Parts: sequence; C-alpha cells; structure tokens
Amino acid sequence: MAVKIIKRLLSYVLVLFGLSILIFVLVRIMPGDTARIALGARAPEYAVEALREEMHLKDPYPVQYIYWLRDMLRGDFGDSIITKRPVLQDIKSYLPATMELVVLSSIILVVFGIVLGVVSTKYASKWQDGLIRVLSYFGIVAPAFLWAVLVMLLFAYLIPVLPVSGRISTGMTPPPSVTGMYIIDYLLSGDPAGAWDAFQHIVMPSVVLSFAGLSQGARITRSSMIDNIKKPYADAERAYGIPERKILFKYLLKPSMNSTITTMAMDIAGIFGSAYLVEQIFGYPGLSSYGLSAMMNKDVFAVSAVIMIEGVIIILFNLISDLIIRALDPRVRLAEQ
Amino acid sequence: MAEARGKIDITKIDESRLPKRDRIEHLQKIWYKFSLSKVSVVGLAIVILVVLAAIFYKFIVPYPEDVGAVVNFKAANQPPSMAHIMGTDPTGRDIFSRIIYAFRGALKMGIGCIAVVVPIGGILGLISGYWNGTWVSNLIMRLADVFLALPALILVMCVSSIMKPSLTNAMLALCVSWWPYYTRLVNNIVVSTRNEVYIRSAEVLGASNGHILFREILPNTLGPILTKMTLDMGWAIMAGATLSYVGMGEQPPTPSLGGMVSNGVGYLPDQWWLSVFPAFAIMLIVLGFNLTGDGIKDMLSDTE
Repeated sequence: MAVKIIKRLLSYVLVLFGLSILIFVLVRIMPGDTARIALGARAPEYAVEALREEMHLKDPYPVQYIYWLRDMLRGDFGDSIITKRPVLQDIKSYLPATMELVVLSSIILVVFGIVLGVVSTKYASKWQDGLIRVLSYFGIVAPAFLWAVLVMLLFAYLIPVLPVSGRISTGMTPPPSVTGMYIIDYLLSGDPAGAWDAFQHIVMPSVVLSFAGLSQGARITRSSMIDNIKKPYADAERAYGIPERKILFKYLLKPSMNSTITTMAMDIAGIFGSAYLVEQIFGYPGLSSYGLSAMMNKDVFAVSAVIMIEGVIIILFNLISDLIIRALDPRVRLAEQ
Repeated sequence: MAEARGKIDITKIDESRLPKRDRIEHLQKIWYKFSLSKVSVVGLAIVILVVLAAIFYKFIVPYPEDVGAVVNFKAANQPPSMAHIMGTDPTGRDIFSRIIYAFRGALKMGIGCIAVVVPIGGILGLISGYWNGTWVSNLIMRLADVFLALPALILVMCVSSIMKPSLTNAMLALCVSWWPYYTRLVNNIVVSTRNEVYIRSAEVLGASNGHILFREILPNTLGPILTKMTLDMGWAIMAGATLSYVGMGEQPPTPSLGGMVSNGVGYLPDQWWLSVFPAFAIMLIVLGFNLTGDGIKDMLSDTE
C-alpha cells in the first residue's frame, strides 16, 4: 500500500512538471517579447535589452525554461508589472484571503452536498426529493459569476442585510496577522465582533462559489446511494432491525462516497477557477482576482506564478481526496492487494 | 449484460441497411423512450426554441437594427414596457432583440467547440485505449493529465488572455483546455470493452485495426459521447458567457450574453433589467441542454 501511495505521489510530481512546461509555453513563449511587455511600450531600448539579458531571454527555450524553473523553485517569481513588487510578496498577501474563501465554501459544499443527497435518498420520489432535485439544477445551469451578480442584487441591494464588497467594513482594523485568514485571526486576537464582520463579508462569495459543487454533489450522492439501497446488505441491515437513519448515514453513505468524493474534489478545484470572477465582483482582495487582473494586464510573471501555485494546491486537494477514499472504502484497498 | 449491449449495438449499425419502414419504427421507439420523461421533453423544447430563435432572429426580433452599434438616446434606459418587453440599455437599444441575437454567439461557441473537441479528443481516446499500456497511450494520457490538473476555467482564461479577444479565439481557448475530457471518457470505455468476446472474435477473424476501432468499438462509445456532448453544450455556453463577461469573448457592438450582464452590473440595482434578463437567458439555454442531456442519459442507461 505504501508503494501505491508513493507511486501516486510520483505521478503527481510528473503532472506538476508537465504543468510547469505548459505554463511556460503559454505564458512565456506565446505572448512574444516578454521583456518588452514587462517594461511597457515606453521603456527605453537599453533597459529592455538589460532585462532580456537578466531573464536569459536570448538563450534557447529549453535553457530559458530551466532558468525559470530554478528561480521558481527558489521562490523567485520575478516582479509584478502592476504592483511593482516581487510576485511572491503579492501572493503572500493575497493567498490567505482566497484560501479562507475556498475553505469556507468547500465546507459548505461538502456538508450541504452530502446532507441534501442523503435527505433526497431518504424521501426518494416524495416532494422533498423533488424540491432538492429542482434546487440542485439551479447550481448547474448558471456559472458562478451569474449567481454572484444575482445574489448581490438580492441580499445587498433589495434586502440589504449583507455588505456588498471587501473583506471587512471600512473603519475596521485588520486583525494581527497570524494565519492571514481574517475570521481565525480575529478569533485568535479575542475579537468576536471583528470575526462576525469578516464572516458577513465572506458569506455571499463563499455560498455562491459552493453552489455548483453542492448541486453536483447532492445529485451524485443521491444516485449512488439509490444504487446501493437495493443491495442485499442494506436489506440485511433492515432485517436486523437497525434504525433507518443509522443505515442511511452509517452503512449506506460510506460505500456510496467514492464517486461523491471524486466529483467533490474536482468541484473544489473548480472553485479556484470560478473565484477569479466572483472575487472580482465582490471586490474581495484574493489571489484569484489578483490573477484575473494580472491576466488582463498581461502581467506574465504574476500569471505564471498564480497558476503554478494554484496547480500545486489543487494537486494537494486531489491527493487528500485519494487518501480519504482509501480510508472510507475498504473495497479500494482490497482491490489493490 | 455487457455482451447483450454489444449485440444490440451491432444490430444498430446494420439498421442503416434495413428497409425504410423499420428505420422509422426504430426512431419512433427512441422518441418514445425519451418522451417518457416529461422534463426531458421540456428541455428539448427549450433547445429547439432557442435554436430556431437564433436562426430566424430577423423575423422574431422587434428591433433588428439594435444588435449593432446603434445609438438612440431618446429610448435610453427604459424599464420593461410594451414597446420594449425587457427594457433598453444606456444607448437605447432593445434588450430583448440583443438577447435573441446573442443566442447565436452562444450556440456558435458551443457547436464550434464540440465540433473540434469531440473528434480530436475522441480519436486520441480510441488510440490510447486500444493500444493501452504502450508508450503511445501513456504519452496521450499523461498529456491529458497535465491539462486536467487545472480547472478548465483557469486554463481557458489564461489561454484567451494571451490572444486577441474575439469569439473565435475564445472558442480556440476552450478547445485547447477541453479535449482531454473526451480523451479520458473514450479511453475508459475502450479499455473496458477491449477484451469483450465480440472484439476478440473480430481479431481472430483477421479484421484490421481500423475495422475493429471504427466499426466494433466506436459505436459503443457513441451513447456516452452523445450524453456528454449535450451536457457540455451547456458548459461551453457558460464558459463563453464567463469569457465575454471579462471581455475576452465576443467583442462589442455584437451582443453577447456575458457581456450584457457585465455592462449591466454597474447599473445595479436601479436598472436591474440590464443584467437580470441576460442572466436568465443564460440560465434558460443551459437548463435546456442539461435537461436534454439528462434525458438522453436516462434513456441510454435504461435496461430493456
């Protein structure tokens, strides 16, 4: 089993390596004169020439790639064109905000996706089931940015209960930075009012981001549980007189989680993609809205760094979901032996 | 069961050679199975209506000239009324007319991408599945893994931010990041049917690789591909809307659904009709394709 996991890890490293080549080709080779883009059209030619020299742009592409990879592994992502700061510094200040958002919406996605799926199974073909199935269509038929706009219209303007944008209200002091996630930092510094304020700001974007995955998760959980509910072992459990609720949540849910977790891992990765627009719409200063403005401004260093970092995080998520599936479903472990 | 399904698909190929009457009967059977679910029929009706509206927009739309760069300040920013059922935008153009026209771009986006992605992704999947375990298949699947490592939306936005913004380039960006989904789907089906008896017998009978790939294996993959294609039409339209929202898709003055939402956001909440109606239009068209796709999936997964 340890060998299997190590093999898995190696394949992930391989994917990361491939991803770095893909990003290098997309961001560094395709746009043309990287040094000129970096310095802008009005920079004098000698400065551009110097940067070309410094970035090894005159070497053949494979050599450039190796320099780029080496710098990146050392944590040197270059300087951002927009903020004029090292990209690493930008990422350090924006990443925690996005992680806070992604973690919160992942929690919403997983909890509600599974609970709605189980409830749907329990009341299969009754009105509760029908309602959940209709609701779960809503998350699938509209991209996250659309929900962001509609939810904002509803809860920030028509029924103004939630703040429109930002991470905290104007006039609030950010908490002393420990994790960079405001809710946790406020709680650590003993300021529940601040945590509540930060939570109010994050609740709309995180619900919107969780919508697609939540719907998908509920649908998949329902369909795989319905498949399993007819299996003899479920009948046996019923015959033993085990309460239906316990059968549902304990004995049926676990073996049905396999495909749910796989899709949910993909959906959580998808949150990073949807966050590009959602963060921008809610004026939320995270890594994704930073990445979007970097893309719009052809900020090559920032784009490649953001995508690479997100790629690493997403691959970590995949690894975790692999491990959870192995832990939950003994059949997967047995099949490998 | 798997064998039975193989047999059915073989008869399906031969049905093209059957007398016309039997073919019509076969189609009627398919329609009967599909129409068992009323929801799927509603979905299909939405799709057909949207396609018809997009094709014949000139005859439906009340203000056909409003799809271009028209300025009519007298009619600017009007709320929905009898003359303009969805209101007008800040330059006085009829929102309803522009939405109907924008369906064309949305459908082009979906159809164009699928027309490119399905053959390329599918053939790569056939190859890697048929020669499973060789270096060719490893190369293809590892390459697919690299593209799949990132959420499609990030890759799409990254690719289209490099290129000049236009509908064609948005489609191209979507294709670049999207073929691996079909490669993986077809690969998995081929690997699992590779050792079926009927394929082994074809090999024993001396059938060529081409015959086995395209006449024996390919028909088995068509059902799942059709399902995924219909569902992906919805996905491609959403991705297109996302791109045009950030200005990487169809360029003004040509209307795009995402672009209209994006232009309207600045006028929230007072001129809500600017972004809400295009938003509903996106939902409607994606809902149509999703319901149809689910209907096809249920129809195919029904055991006879």
